[in-house]
Amino acid sequence: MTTGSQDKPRTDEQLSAWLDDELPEVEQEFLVARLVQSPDSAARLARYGLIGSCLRDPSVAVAGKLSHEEAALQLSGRVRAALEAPGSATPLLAPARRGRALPYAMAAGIALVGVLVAIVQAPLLRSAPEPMQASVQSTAPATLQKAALSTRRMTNYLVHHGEYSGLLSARVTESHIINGRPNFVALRTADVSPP
Amino acid sequence: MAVTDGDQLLVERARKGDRRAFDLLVLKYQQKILKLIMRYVRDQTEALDVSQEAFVKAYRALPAFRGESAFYTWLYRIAINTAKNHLVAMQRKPVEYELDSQDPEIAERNPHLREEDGPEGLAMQEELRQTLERALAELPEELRTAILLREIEGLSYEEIAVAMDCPVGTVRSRIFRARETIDIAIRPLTEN
Repeated sequence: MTTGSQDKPRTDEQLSAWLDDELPEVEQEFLVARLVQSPDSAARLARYGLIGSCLRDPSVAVAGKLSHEEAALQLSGRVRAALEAPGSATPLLAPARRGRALPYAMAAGIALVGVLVAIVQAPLLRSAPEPMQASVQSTAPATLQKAALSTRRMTNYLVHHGEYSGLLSARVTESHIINGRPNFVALRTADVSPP
Repeated sequence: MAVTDGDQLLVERARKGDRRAFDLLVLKYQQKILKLIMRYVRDQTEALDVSQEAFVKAYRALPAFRGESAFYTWLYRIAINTAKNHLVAMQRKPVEYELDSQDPEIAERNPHLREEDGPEGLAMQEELRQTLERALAELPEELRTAILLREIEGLSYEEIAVAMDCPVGTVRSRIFRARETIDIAIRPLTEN
């Protein structure tokens, strides 16, 4: 006799235990290696499953539902055919990787936003109002900073709008910041400069 | 007896594209999944379609399975979602059934239009049930007790060993021998 046929009852017993999730880890690799090579084991596995279903619920036969159990035996064949159909091929790696990376990408995004907010807010936070006791002491520097900020804002406003904003903008355009057109600036300056 | 998730090895093989390994996982769980889906989709043909879809989805999503839960737990969730999605999809076009009730394909998919199993099918089911009962009755007492404690009471091998006052290895052997005996009895019927 061959080793294979001698091992068969052992493999079948392992198959039975595996179906019950009772096969020790050390035996699993051996069984799996055998199973994937044995077409007979597939049919046996299906029948063991059928036996279990019928024993658990004898009414399925009486109620005419036993065909469900029989139908289940076809299922593996249908799944196999579906997977062998052109285009269904292998497990999809891309979605899984995307799925795995998504939480990290979100975390990185949130962290990046946090850093940007911190950078932008840092100057403002330095001048942010302190609690009530400190607010009186810090009034003067805060006012100065506020004034400086207002000046800067005003300058920015004029830089962006000065070209079209009449008398006031002329002084700004003298700096040649806006359009670099000395002739135009000179003309405007001549027109609007105060005496 | 230390047992880890017995499916992990097959999952690893299937992930590498070994369809035979996945096939074995389908065989192991097809009964459970079909029964589960039939709680949502009552028509058998439709339930088979949904079960097939669930398994195909599981195969394609295998790389996402990280083994944080048991394979069956993961598969169970996929099956439930597939069944629910199927129900949602079907509810969008309920009128189609009525309009095309003469179409055999649609009629087959509609639980309300499906015919009951024919007399031949019922006779075969009854024969199978009787064969099972007879095979069970003829089993030696220790085999019958072991298989019933496992399949009906859902006890683990260790619990059965305690209940029957025997080693776990003996329980495993008894359950296997019981299955083999019943299998020999019902095989001619299932092969048809």
